[in-house]
Amino acid sequence: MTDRSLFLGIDLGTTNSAAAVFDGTQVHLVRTAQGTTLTPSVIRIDARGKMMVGAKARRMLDGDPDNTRGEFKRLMGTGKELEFPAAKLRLKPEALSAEVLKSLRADVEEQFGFAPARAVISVPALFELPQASATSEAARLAGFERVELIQEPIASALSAGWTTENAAGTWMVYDFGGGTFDASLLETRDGLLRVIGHDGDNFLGGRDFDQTLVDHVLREVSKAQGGSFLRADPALTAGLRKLKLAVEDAKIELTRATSTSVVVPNLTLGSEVVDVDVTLTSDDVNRLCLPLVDRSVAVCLRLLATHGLEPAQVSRMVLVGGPTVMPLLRSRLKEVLGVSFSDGLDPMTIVAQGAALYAASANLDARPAAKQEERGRRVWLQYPAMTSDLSPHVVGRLVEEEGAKPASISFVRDDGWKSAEAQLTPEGTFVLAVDVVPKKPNVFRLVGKGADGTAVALKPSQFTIVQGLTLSDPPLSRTIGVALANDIVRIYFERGAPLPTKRTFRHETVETIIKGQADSLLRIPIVQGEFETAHLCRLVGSLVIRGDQVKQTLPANTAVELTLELDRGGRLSARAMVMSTGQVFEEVAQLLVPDATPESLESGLQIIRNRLAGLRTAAFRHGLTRQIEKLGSVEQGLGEIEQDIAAARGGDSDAAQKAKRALVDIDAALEQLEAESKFPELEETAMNAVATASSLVTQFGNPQEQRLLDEAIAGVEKARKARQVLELQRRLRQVRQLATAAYYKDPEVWRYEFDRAASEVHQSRDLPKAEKLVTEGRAALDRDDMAALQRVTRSLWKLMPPDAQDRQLGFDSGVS
Amino acid sequence: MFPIGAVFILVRVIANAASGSSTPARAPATSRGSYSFLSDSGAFVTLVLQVFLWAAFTTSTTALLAQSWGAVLIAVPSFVALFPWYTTRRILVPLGLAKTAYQVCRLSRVTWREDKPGGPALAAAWALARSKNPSAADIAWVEAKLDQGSPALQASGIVAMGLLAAAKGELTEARRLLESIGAFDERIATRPIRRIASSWLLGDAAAEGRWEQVLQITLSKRTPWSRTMWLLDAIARRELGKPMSTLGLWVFWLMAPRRLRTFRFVALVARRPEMQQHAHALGSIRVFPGAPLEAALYRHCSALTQPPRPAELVNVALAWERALDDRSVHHRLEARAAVIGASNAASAIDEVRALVEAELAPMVTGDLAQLGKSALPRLVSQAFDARRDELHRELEDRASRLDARREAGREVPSTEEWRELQITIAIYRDLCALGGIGERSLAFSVIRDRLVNYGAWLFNARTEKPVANAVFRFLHSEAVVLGDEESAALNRKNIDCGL
Amino acid sequence: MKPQPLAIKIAENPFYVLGLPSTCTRQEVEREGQKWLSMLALSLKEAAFYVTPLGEQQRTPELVRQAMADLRDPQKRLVHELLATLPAQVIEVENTPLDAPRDRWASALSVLGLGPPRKPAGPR
Repeated sequence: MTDRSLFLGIDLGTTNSAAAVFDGTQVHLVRTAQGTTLTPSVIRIDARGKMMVGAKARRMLDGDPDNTRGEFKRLMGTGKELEFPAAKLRLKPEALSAEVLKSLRADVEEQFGFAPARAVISVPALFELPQASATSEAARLAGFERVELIQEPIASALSAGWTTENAAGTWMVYDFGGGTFDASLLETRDGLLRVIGHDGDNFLGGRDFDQTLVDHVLREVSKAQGGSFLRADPALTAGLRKLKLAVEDAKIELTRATSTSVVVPNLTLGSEVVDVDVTLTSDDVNRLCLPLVDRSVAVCLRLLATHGLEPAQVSRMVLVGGPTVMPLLRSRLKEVLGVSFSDGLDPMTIVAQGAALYAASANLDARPAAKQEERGRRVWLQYPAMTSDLSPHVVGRLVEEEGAKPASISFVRDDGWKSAEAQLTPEGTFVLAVDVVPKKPNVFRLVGKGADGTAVALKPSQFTIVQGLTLSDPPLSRTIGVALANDIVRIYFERGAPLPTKRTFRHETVETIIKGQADSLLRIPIVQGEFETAHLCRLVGSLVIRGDQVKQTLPANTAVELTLELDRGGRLSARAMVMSTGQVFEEVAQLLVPDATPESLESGLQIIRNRLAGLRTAAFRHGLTRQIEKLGSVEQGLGEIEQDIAAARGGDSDAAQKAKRALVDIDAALEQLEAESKFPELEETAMNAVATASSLVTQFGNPQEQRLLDEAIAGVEKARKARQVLELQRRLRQVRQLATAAYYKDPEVWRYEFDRAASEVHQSRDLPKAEKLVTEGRAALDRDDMAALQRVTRSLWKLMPPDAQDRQLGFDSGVS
Repeated sequence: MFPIGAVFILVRVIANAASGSSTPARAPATSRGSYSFLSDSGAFVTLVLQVFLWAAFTTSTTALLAQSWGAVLIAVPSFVALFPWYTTRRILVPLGLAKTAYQVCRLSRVTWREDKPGGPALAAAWALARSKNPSAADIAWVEAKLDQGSPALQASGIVAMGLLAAAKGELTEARRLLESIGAFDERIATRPIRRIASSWLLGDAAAEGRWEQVLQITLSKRTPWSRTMWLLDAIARRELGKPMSTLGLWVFWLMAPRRLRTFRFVALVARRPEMQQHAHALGSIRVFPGAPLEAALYRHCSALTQPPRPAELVNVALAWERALDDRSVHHRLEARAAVIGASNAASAIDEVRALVEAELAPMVTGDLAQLGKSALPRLVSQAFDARRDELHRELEDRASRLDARREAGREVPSTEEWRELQITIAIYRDLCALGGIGERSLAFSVIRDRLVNYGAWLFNARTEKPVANAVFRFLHSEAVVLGDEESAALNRKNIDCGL
Repeated sequence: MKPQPLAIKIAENPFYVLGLPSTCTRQEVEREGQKWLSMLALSLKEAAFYVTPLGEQQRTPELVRQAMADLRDPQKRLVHELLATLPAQVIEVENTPLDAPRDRWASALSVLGLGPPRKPAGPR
């Protein structure tokens, strides 16, 4: 094993994974037993339970599709188990990812002579907490002692920046992975890499190209064979896998040729056996894939616009991922964004290389801790293992133990440069600045001197600092906060907050939690997202305090101190302390991506459709052209969701997650549109209510009510002008109450109300009693006794079914 | 120290004998058998006991006068047994002896005849609120006693809860609960209960210099008079520049207890000229000199160090407006933006403006409305609107939660029912304080029907009649103020359903 | 999104956390940040606290990292510069003659025999 620090970076990809090791000077790619730098993220388990990982397993996708699984990264954090029927096993995606990591770990051991204990693993920038958490879990299962996560675009930029001499300026990393698309804007200045922002689509990836092409081939086959083959048909699953492999080959072929054929003889598609022979031209591919490419370009443009940048201001674009070799994609990017690409970088391994570089800056030596054989007085040292600074500080503290104690400490660099001499404080601490040589590892020797000037041996006797482009802390991808009772988010960590991080805030409970009652709950939902309104954000965990856990009943408004903590890998932990009792609760539940069954997706889609229809009607009625346009674009997305739901019915859980995400996004978009469209309707309702109330209050109201109505109308006007929906709703309620109060003052009103109640008497829950009341009412009418009539009418209301009671809700809830 | 107990019992026995009935014909609450000890045989035993105690007390006191010190062993217990409430109030509570106060108060058949379980718990809580460092164990003990109390929540229980909150240092909660006594019928919130609640509230308001509130309490018809109350009333008048002569002030001081200890305070107040508003609770509005940004940050940090008076809030906002509109600040920021590569200096100003507004919003109180909303600086006005919106959201949320709980039939202990209700009412009052009658009517529209239904549920399903009655009384008074005749009539009808 | 309260922005201002003037360079930010992180990791007592106008605050690794990240972003830095205008020292709250001190009556409860004395209002 080498005596130099080695830093391991792993790109745990959807389709392929890769690993790289940085030795302080150079980045080395880790090769598999087959000599390649890529390990397909595919697992096969046979009937004996024997596991196959990587290229070998990928080859079995065709022959044994039921027991071979790929693309499980997209299901990370969902809790969904994948089945291996031959071995009668069900494994979670993180367990499968762990197997890929184990394979990479074995390759590192083979090449470098040690089993790595620490590593940096890349994750997509838009991964949410459950997904990041599952990745850390996979690493733990693979035997890593400690891992840190880095977002893929940052890893790519770090790698690109390290290899480029003049790295200053704004960069865009265009990362088209197998399953996700990320676009990131970065800036390098003074040797520091900073993420300006990122955007992306968690469910747009290279796989979508393949699926689009598979759909096309299926259509062609259907046409030729006269049948109807759909990807959604569960019976086609096995055949589709074969077809997909053939399509992938054809796609690669088309990067060099203009035309090729997809040929699969004797393909079993459900109950039929067909010979597939479909010609695929590069024009076909371009036509079919262009919408997907444009989706990615739109994300790039949106990202630039968000940060007030023009495409021309991007000095370089780094392309990452297999699909970026597609000529169509490159030409489209040049055409729309007009940017130049960073050359000489391998899009397939750039992420792993960047992760290895980041491992160095995080001082995450991959080697297992070696036994200290050095002699001398022990010193705890703290220094940046990798830094952009040319004069970093080194801080030290002598360990309290027997032995000679130095009075001063200095450092000598391997090329002879000497630091100043630091006198130790009475506590045995010191702070010293050192000079480092750029872009290389600087080895410093520790020199300790006693009070009399004699040398004192120290351990460690030396340490290394690498100077180069650095990124000190991984930033948080999305804002994290706590959903409050009023549906507002209390932010704990803003997007971009450096990890690890921790924050404590005090909250107050809104309801009583009764001691001993398990169903009396205090739920603290933790959400992630950029919306102020909690329900639009994603629930990523929730801390629940049950009545049977509390020492004593917690009254409403009890102070609870909540601490949220995120480690460098993005794992979330929460701790709630009830201030009055000092009781602590730490169990965070439901840290999973929500379930997405085809049925729940169907019903979700139906709700969206209904909402859309309602909105369209309202938009037409009020002539809101912009709204109609927006609704049109929302509706376009529904077709794709439908396809995904159909695929989900066919057992494609990945498509199910994609549909789920899309539904959540559409829901948020509709919320916004609803707020906009509701306003004219609300305004109209408010104006009608004002007119009715004015007439009623003028006729029957008292001066106080008149004054209140005037104020309420002024409030309506103010809310209308400021377009405040909530305020207008409040004022409308007030106006209606004033109108109702005035209405019941009309002496004649009890005649109408009695007549109406009497006409509905057949609906009564107690007909004989109701008929008796009607008779009494008629008698009261005859003698013009309004008080009696009012009493009778109210009694009749009580006998009505609930909907009939609604109109006098609140007025009729007196005490028996 | 008149033998009230014995006379009272004698009168009741005679009265019962005359009417031939052992059950008093009074309001529903009093028919709960809370003084069943007055049943003929029980009353007779008690009367005999009283006579015996008086005899023991008189004899032992006479012996003590003759310097027979051993008689103290009889004199003290008989005194305690004869005057339990006096002993509790004057000796045990000031000494902070909670458990002893509880036990001795249990002997008090006269003062707490209507609320036997509540009185002792209240006495114990009162003792804890008076002690400097009440132990958590003692608080828990009293809370447990409170839970074992009357099946329906009574005013005594609520005051006990309030005093326990005070003992725990939860002053806002204590204020809310003790003020809530005002909603109860006087037959439930009896004179001793109101006296304890109002004396704590008076002391609390005085300790924080809230003299308007002191005056509000002393002027309330429901506040039982006391000499301390008169003194505080005089001080409040003087502090607020209302008519109160120096002579009058000293007369009230002479009448009040603890003259030696209060002398220094009264002397301080008396030195001030009469009829001068020298320390108005709203504070004073003024512009501070110096560099605008430094001044704004200084004022802001000061406001964060101690809760600002309304005028100070205005000062903070004025200072910020001056700073954020100042050309030199803009120039400085633009120059710095160019140096560090920031794209937008103006958005930094906007961000700070939004931060200031968000920070000022929770500091906005009803007192600010007294300064006249139209005269407020834009930042405060925006903070005012933000606070109002927040309170509306909170009120809607709390009221709908109560409603949802009622509909689902999810019960919480009666003390907690009251606490949740009071939190809702406190938000309602905060909201009302922000505006005039229109704002009050708007806020009332949120709770009007929901609280009627809630009160009805408490009355019917929970048999919490005193509490339900208090809910109806509160709604009735609001409906009357707002001229909502329908609601007033309904709540009047509900009030008449009894206690 | 609703911003963090201004009080937190002042108490956790990166310039106060790092003990740097608002005119410092990026390299100084990195250097000082790294130094504080190292000192905190070894529990050096000189690193435990920092001073702001709102009083002394506890310096934590999370705060230092957040400070470094914020100062790398020029737009965020600009806002922090604006809010770090007051020197890093605790402000002295003045009470002008017009605003009578409100703590004068803090002992009223005990003087009147109504309860224990109140603590004067302190920083919130």
